[in-house]
Amino acid sequence: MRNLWRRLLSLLCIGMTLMVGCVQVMDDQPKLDPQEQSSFFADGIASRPLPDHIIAADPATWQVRSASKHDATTSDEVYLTGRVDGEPVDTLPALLLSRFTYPELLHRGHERFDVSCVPCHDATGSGNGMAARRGFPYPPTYHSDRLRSQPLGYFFVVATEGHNKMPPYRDLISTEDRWAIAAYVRALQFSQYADVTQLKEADLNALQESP
Amino acid sequence: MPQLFSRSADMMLQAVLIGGILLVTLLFSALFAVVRSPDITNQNVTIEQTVPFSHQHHVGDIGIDCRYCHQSVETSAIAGVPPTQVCMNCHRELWNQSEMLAPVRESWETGQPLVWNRVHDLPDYVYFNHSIHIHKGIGCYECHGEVDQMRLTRQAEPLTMHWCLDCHRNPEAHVRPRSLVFTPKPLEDLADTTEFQEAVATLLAQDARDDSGVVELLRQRLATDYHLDERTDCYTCHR
Repeated sequence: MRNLWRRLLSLLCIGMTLMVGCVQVMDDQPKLDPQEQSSFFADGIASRPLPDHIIAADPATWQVRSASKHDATTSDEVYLTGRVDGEPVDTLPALLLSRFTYPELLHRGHERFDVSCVPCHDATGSGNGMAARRGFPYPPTYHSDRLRSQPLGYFFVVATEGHNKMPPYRDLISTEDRWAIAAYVRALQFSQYADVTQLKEADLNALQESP
Repeated sequence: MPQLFSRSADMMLQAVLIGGILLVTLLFSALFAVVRSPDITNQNVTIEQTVPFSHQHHVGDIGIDCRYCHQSVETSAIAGVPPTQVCMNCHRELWNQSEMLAPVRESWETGQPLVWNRVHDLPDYVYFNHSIHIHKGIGCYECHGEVDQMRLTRQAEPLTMHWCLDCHRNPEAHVRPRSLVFTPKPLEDLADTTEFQEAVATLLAQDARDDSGVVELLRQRLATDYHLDERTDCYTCHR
């Protein structure tokens, strides 16, 4: 009988030693992952919200400011708001053009437009996006005289501040991407309203051959 | 002196030895099978959520890009669960009386984030980074499967270290053109897309383009182009 107990005890010991590997203590460490829940803060949010009166530095303006010592506030303001004296500007900010070429901007704008704008505005800017077809108020088409005559900054301002039913995208799309999108919207408008005499011969031939 | 062992003793010894080895092998195989079973890895286990968010509807039917909601996926380690603001972009107008979305509206009004139950949870000692996978041409599909078919989000792959290493040893088998990274389908099914055709036209020689193994050829070429190497050092994923 004693022998049996001994055997059981040793089996238990061996078993427990083997089971050490089954408990994954390091799986969930005391550190906090991004967006994880935390019992430390009263509201349970591990990724802390910004305190009041904090303005996030835009990496672009930061870079230019540290590169050239002069006070770049004025051009920063155009870059960040798209407005001069409250009115939308009609050119791309110098700050942007010092960092990107036009093709880079349009390429980026195309990509970001497809990500953020297409659900409502549709890939051509007609305003027949899927979200609109499912019941969101239809946005206006870009291809109207009213929107063709708007300055470039207008599209940046609308993306930044929102307009009518459109929510602001200030927090969701970076400043430079909103400019790139504005530039791309111009390109979209042009794509549907180009003067046929401006086409290159190859494109003109392709147009004539198309059904 | 009589024989110490009977005639059958030899047999017994052999049987015990072989049986023992078999038993141990079986035990270990069973252990490994258990660790890799969905019971432990949670593969394909559907997890209940406060709001029954459907990727099938938002991605499959509406065609919203992954990045509309998972905004940090290209620039940081985490893809990011979208803030309530992103839901409200549409849902302040659409289904804005729906009972199902009541928790979303409540979160919007109180500023208290929605609580989602985590579907993909790697151990804390694994430092997975989304952005580098995206930039190296590893599509969402490779780990998350056909998200556009999922009513409720589930973990499509086992996410074991063994599974990670399968790809880290041979990334060439999983790479795709960067233009197709966010399309949640196997690359083989995308051969008809413009993006695929463009990649083939830019990267492959004329005579290789109509080859039946064009997907493999393209992958080989992309692996070189994107500088994909075997990444199996411990510190690739662990610190």
